[in-house]
Amino acid sequence: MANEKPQRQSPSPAEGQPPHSEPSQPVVAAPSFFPQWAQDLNVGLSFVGFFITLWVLYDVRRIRASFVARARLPALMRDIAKAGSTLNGHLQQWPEQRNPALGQIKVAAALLKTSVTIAPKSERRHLSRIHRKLTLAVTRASASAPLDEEAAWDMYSDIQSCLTSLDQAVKNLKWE
Amino acid sequence: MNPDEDTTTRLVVTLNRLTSQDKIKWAQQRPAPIVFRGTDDTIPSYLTTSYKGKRFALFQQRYQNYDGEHDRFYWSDRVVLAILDTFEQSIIWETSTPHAALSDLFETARHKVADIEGVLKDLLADGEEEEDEL
Repeated sequence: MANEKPQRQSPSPAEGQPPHSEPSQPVVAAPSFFPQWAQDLNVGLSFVGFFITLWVLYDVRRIRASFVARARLPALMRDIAKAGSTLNGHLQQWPEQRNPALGQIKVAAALLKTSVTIAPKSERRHLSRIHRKLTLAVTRASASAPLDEEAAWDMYSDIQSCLTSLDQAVKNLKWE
Repeated sequence: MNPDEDTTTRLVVTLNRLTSQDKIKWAQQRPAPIVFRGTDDTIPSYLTTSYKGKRFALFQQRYQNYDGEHDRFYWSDRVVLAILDTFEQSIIWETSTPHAALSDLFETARHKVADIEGVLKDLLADGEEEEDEL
């Protein structure tokens, strides 16, 4: 009809958009007090701080271990030296004192096991090797294959070498 | 571990073992003057032996230490193993470490020199004779 007003047609939806949906508005962030470069710097420093935290955690554990070693090692050394001296006494009366000597070797092995966990890393390998050797000898000694004097003296020598290592470790710890 | 310290430890343990097995004999004697000349040290016990052409001296040395905190001297002792020349006129080498091994060697050597076993046997033999007489 001529008097009919032309209907206003809504604009056709753009391609890819669902029909009858309003076009998306870009999200505008609230304006920040700090400039962008400061915010980027903040994020970067947070990452650095995270790694520093890890390093501090590691260092605190190392310092704590050093204090524990400094406190415990001298007493452990005295006990190991006492076991070594007692073993020396038994070795003077071989083979009558064979079994008590074996007992002292067990005591020394147990003390060395404790010292391995406390000693500095530089000494642990040596102590661990001696501990394994003593433990193996004690395990193998039996009624059918008793411990012989040569092996007993060899183990006494190993115990003394451990004491020398621990003595140096204690001296080094005084300077840490 | 320091190789020198390891060698010293092995030497001390070897001497201890040879002493225990009576392969070397220690003798008590007066300290060689070179050991204490120029010091205020006291040598209460001095043992010597010869092994593989070397003259070994094993002695207990009492020396004075200074305590700076209290400004006083105090006595300490240690066991020293030394190698002397043939005429005991000079010290070729000496060590006071390792402490534990040297103490054990000293005890073993003293035990052998004092012949504790022989003394005990004599005492027990005397005791048996008295019992027989009764």
